[in-house]
Amino acid sequence: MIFTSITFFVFFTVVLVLFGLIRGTSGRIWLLLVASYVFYANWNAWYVLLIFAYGLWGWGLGLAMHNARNAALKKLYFALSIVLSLGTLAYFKYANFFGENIARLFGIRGWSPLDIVLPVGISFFTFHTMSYLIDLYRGHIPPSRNPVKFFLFVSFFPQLVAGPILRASGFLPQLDRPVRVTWPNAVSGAQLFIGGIIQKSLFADHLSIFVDQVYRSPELYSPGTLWLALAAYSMQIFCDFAGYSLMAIGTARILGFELPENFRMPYLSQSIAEFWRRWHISLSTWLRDYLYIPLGGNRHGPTRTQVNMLITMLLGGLWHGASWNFVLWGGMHGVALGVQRAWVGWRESRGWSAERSGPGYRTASWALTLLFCSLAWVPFRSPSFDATLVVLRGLFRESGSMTWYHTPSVLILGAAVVWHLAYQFAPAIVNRLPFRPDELTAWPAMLVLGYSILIIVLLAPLNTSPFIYFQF
Amino acid sequence: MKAGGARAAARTLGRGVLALSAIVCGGEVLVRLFIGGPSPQVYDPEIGYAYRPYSELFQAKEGYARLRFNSLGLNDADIVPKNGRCRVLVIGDSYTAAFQVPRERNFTSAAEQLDNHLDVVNAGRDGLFLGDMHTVFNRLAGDVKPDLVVYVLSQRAVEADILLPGFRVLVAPGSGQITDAVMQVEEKELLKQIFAPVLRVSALVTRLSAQLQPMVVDAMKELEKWRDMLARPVTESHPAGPAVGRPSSEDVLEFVFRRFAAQTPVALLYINALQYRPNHRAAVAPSSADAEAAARRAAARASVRFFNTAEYLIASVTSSGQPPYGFDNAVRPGGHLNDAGHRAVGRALVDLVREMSPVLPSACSAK
Repeated sequence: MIFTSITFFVFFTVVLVLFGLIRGTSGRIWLLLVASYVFYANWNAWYVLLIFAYGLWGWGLGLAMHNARNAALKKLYFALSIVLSLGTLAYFKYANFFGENIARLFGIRGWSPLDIVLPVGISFFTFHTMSYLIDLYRGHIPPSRNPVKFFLFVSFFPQLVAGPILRASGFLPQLDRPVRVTWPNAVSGAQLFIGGIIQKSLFADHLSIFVDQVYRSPELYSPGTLWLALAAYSMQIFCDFAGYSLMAIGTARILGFELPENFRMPYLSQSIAEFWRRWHISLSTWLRDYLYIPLGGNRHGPTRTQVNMLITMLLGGLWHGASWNFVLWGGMHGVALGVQRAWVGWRESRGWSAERSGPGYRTASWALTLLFCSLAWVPFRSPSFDATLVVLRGLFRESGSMTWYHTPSVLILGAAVVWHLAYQFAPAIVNRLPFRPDELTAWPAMLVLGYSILIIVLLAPLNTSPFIYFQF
Repeated sequence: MKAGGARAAARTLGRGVLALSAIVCGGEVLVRLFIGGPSPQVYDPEIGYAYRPYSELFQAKEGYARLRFNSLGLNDADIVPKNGRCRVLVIGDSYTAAFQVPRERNFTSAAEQLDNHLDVVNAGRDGLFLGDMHTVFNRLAGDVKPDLVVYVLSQRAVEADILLPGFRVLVAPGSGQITDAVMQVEEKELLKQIFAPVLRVSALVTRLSAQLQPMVVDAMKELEKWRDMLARPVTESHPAGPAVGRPSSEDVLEFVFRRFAAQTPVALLYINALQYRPNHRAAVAPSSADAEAAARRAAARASVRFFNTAEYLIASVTSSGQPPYGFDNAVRPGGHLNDAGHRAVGRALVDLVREMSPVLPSACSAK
């Protein structure tokens, strides 16, 4: 069930009606849990059992860990919970990838892939569960004693299939307060949802028409077309994922919940490190807190720091999908982070701090960061390693002759530039959104919201493409 | 206090109505400027819809064109006396209708420009089914009086149209001979008829209906499915798969082609789909070749001359490196013929007439 479908609108309307009919927080939590399972069952009913199992071992082993008589037993429960979570993820997501590579490495003939259907969003609910268990093990949070609340934390439908990745410390306390729909939350949530639809249906889906066609046969197209496709995909993946996140945050807010911010205009970043503080924030902070820091972070000297960053980014790449292309993408970012860190260290050793750099340096940093991130999306988008090479070669050397400057993509990229410039240089305009409830009857709100809805209905492509991050 | 509240509510309501009006008017202007005009279509009980005489069409969805239909509702100039020219009536679907390019650049005009002895009448209509093409001929034959009728076939027409559930093939019970093959008018056309008065004047409503129509049709199908399920036990439902006793696709094609050939000299022109390769190369797409082979066999059985456009379209790719299909604002390559494609098919049409000239009236003889 995707947010832009009629099915979701019907589903959410029913949930809201029932939400209003049920009095009391515990009944509403039950309703949201059942709704979350129905939401997932609409894709695959059997895999609801999988989410249920995650909830069961997360809650059960969490309590067992908390009540363990000694440290060894606590460690055992913790290890078991992590093995279960990662083992399940590994089976569903990586079994064929590793099997195929091992078979190729050792020349094993007759290996055939297992018939495994990848559960939508498994990477996300695995990370939810793991963050709870790790935080609990570290003593940062108390255990969740109420199974219904914990199961809802694992399966909360607005963010179930593509995040933002929740932390128990941020979500579970919200279930201890009265759960209710309020007018200000509903108004703001609905506007965030509309903003998400604009990003997804109006921008990402139109860009995908161009990008998909070019990536289907990149060898046919001229360098100019490939550069446009490069820019278009950079914007598509941002609009697709940020749009989904916005819809998730909006849906949750209508129901009275706050989800963490996931994007903060990442293409305005002036360094790769800054990019990761603005892009998929809930994942990058997860990787920082549960992988990079436990590996040693920056506490063991420059070389070890570089290695830790590279490992974190390689695994972050692999988290996205079982393919060497994702590993390559993660590796490129890991190396870039290392190079940037060395560069900053070198500059600082000469007394040139980032704060004192002029607009020319900052503009060059921004352009280089944007160029690198866009080029790094090539392996991320390409269906194979060979296709990656074809695109990268084609960007600089003419092999194909077809030119196609897709007008909607050019217009969308233009609109994106305007929006980014407004964010950077006229934040007052951007910060007017979303409108407050008391502003809804004023002209600006009525016209902006009215035209937004009209333009969505008029221009959204008839065949919406699924969210890119659903596959992860 | 109450009066003040009521006044405030009335002001808010008034502002809401004004805002809604502004949005609707602004939407109408935006659509007319950048997307398309009001619907020029009129409901037609036989072929679903036709175009109103002298109505105008504007579309910027695929390519860009502002067109004016003639007195017969065709995307062409008005019919004038032949004056010794060879008149060719071209009937086909959206490839022929060519709403993506200005009229003077479509393939029927291109053929006239290449050979000034030709007077090509474009009777294409987007979405025209193979089974309805003879109806279009029957309607126009009196006005146009063609020396040659060319039916333009696309892969979709040959391959998919005749398998549609709405395509009714009637078979004589005893002999098994096909007696009729006709496309049923789709439900959406009936829906459009209901809203015709608004669609005719409002570009905004026309666009909204195009956007929402698939949703409405899906919802209607879903409703029907539920109604059927509730009205009939599951065990009685029809099994999936091809209908028992339905003639083969080639037999149906042969019947349709024979019906074409019943009157004036007739030829079939097949629009090939291409598969592209780097370095200005292209070949006929395998699926298109398969469909062409089936149509060619059926045409041979029906004794109808069959021509294709492959070499002309491939030559266009070889010379320019650009595909003959697709537009910057839609998909490239893909979709309908662009300027280069229309020039290529125009050349194919001219050569077709030359090859057919021995069996055509003297006006059509090669000069």
